[in-house]
Amino acid sequence: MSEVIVVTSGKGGVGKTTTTANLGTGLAKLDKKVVLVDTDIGLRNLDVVLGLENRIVYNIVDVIEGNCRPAQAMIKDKKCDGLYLLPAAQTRDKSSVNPDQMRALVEELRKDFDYIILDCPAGIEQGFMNAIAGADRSLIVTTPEVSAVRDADRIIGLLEANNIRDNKLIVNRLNIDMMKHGNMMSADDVVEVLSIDLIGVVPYDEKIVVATNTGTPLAGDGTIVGNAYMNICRRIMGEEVPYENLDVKKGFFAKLGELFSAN
Amino acid sequence: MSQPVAIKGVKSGIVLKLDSRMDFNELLPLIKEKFSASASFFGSAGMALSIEGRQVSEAETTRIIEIIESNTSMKIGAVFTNDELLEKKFSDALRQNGVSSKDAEAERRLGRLEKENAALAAALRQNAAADSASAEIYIGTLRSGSSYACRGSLLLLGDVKQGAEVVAGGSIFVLGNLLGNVTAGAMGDDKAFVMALHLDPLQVRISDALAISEDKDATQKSKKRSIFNRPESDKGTPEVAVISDGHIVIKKFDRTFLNSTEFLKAFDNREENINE
Repeated sequence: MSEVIVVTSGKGGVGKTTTTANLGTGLAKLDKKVVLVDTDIGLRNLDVVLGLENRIVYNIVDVIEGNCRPAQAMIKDKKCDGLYLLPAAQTRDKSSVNPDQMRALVEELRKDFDYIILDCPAGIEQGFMNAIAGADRSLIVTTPEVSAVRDADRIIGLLEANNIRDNKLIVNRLNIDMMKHGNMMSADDVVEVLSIDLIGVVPYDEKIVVATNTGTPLAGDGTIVGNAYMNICRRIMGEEVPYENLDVKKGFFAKLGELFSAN
Repeated sequence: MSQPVAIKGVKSGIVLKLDSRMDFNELLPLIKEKFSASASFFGSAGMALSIEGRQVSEAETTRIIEIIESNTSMKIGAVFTNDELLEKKFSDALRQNGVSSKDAEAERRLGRLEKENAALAAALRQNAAADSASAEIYIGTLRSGSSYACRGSLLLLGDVKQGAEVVAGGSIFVLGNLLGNVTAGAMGDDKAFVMALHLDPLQVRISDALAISEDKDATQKSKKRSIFNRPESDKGTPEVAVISDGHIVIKKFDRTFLNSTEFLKAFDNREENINE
């Protein structure tokens, strides 16, 4: 049975595309057949994050307009077997596609894939409506900032209004040190505000910037961020996975320093 | 015909082209080989089959269908046989109506481009009156998401950024950085080329040939990447991408190139067009 998951946030720049790329990679590493659909027509990014930018010949608008078959537009990932990308068009805009066409496309993809992950554009306009049209469930990405949480709340309302009831929260870019000092909302605070179930917490790590720039997702590579994404993937598949201890192991000197400062 | 057996997929069917001179029994193993090699490509859909290029009897058709159905998971729902090649019929018909096949080829390519990108094809049609030997001048930088098309050659004074698209029926000269996607010779002119002061595009197409840039290497710190491996010393000089033996290759845009037959040929072709 295949599932259609939309990754959305409302606010831009909170990590929807990075999350999509990592979850796709993670699920593919767990032997699932996954297609990532970039619905951000006119501002495509997912291809860059996956490092597949140079291979695009056809795109989602070509598929919808019937210029090519879905299989011709899909790009196989460089590293992961079972991971495919259906890129967005860059020279068109959101109005090139309507929700009915998206629904039909997603139904078509269901035949061949275990997971269809839709990378939603920021905002609540047509692009958002297109992206959620065919979705069974959603993953809402937010950072622990008031503005992002406010937008996420609006998005949850819109998803529920469109009959998407299975909405899970990913708190992205959590800065452990700031949280411990009470300078940043914790994941629990965010969950309390939004009152939906948490499916994962991804700590802030500079590695993710490097990974994005080089087009190599981190999921499943053993780093803390990579493990966080892998755990979200397992939870998506229905496994019970305990929440990881995000307390970063400190080096000897840092511990020593703390000892002194405590005194 | 180059191959004794050729398969071509169309939307809801397959065209099987067979050599008319070979013995039918010699063709059978070749048909089997072709279909088993591409079994996964065809999937398990119901397909119509058109056999072209030679006269086949009913018994022979049955044999062919047996081979196809036992080597792939396709189901053949209908069969058509044409002893003549469809292409030949088309070109004969066109000749009778006084249309040269060169024009027909250009129209066919335009039709295909229309399917791929309606906006660009419309721009090309609009410019249809323009002489194919002339060049348009575009001044400005094309940023991500914008595109420009012209029927003849194009002289672009500015940059073509990643995510931007340029299509020309003739050659493309970019006096700036070329980082986006370009198609030269969009109507099938193999002799067209792409020149830029700094040539580092994501994709270059010339006629039917396509070249894509190298993948980024995670270990490689520099974000520079290029379609073409070339010595560091060559970077920074104007370069040109041309078709050589069906592949796109890069050359320095210098006196050697300007005096080369490739460069001159590109314009010989234009003169022919004018004379016509």
